[in-house]
Amino acid sequence: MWIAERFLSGSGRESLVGDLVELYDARRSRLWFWGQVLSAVATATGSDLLSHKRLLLRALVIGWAVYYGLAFPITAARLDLTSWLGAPLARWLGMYEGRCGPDVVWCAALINLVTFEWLVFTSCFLAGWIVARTHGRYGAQMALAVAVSIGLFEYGVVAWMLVLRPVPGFIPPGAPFFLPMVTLLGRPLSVALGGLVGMRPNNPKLV
Amino acid sequence: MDRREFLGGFEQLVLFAVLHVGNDAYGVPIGKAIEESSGRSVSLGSVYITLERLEAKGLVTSRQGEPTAVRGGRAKTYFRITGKGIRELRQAQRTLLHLWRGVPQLDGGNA
Repeated sequence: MWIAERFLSGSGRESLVGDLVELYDARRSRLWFWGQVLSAVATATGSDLLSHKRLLLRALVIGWAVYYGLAFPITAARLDLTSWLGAPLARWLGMYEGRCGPDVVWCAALINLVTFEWLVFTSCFLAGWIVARTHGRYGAQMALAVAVSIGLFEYGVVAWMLVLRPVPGFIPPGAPFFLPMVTLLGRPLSVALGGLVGMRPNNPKLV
Repeated sequence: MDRREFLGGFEQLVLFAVLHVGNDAYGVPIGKAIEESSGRSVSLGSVYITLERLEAKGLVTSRQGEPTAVRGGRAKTYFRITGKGIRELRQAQRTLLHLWRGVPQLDGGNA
């Protein structure tokens, strides 16, 4: 219900949230109820975005400016970050787990996450938070739109790199080909989370 | 030729359900009425978005009820069909009946 409240209350759909509470008490099935909540959020968000196109455009510009301004320099410094912080971490992990190097999938993924990816996730969270803060009661919806656009862009780039322009070492040796896809999921999720945390329900400012 | 917008299929169902439920027409019973008559599961979100659209077209009106504890302190929004809404439904019925008549595939129930 927290998700439904964040997405629906802000845009003046308190009654829909109340109806969902009523349905939850009717207890048809948990799966059916979640289907109702997610479908209500998706439908209402789609309707809000379509009826506030200028706000959507502004949210995309702000969201991408923050994402580009923060995440891209971090991505550019990826190799430096991994070598500065990754080597001591790998040594430390190696002491406890026996062996940790770039050829060990779980270890490479963990080093990537701890040294580099969390900074990108933080940038994404900030992008979502700023979009939510600057878009009044439609903050969560706008942040979700930014999250979807970033997700689509990143998945498009990765698909392009995997299929059309394979980069050597892009996937750690022995790792499944879908590993980058799983890691990338954190970016749109972080934007959406930032939006949910940053939104101000029932604040009509700017709208 | 009249340039009015046609009512969508789901819009017609929602309007019929609002009429059918009567004075107690809010989201849950409207959705339930559609499910019972169509035999299909209905998303409450779609019902609300359709009701908002119908209200913007002047086919239904809404009023807020009192907040209740059962609904976490949230009020119900009750909907009522307008005269224009009833005229639109009648027009839709006439159009369908006119098209229906004289189509042999639709007589006798064999698809």
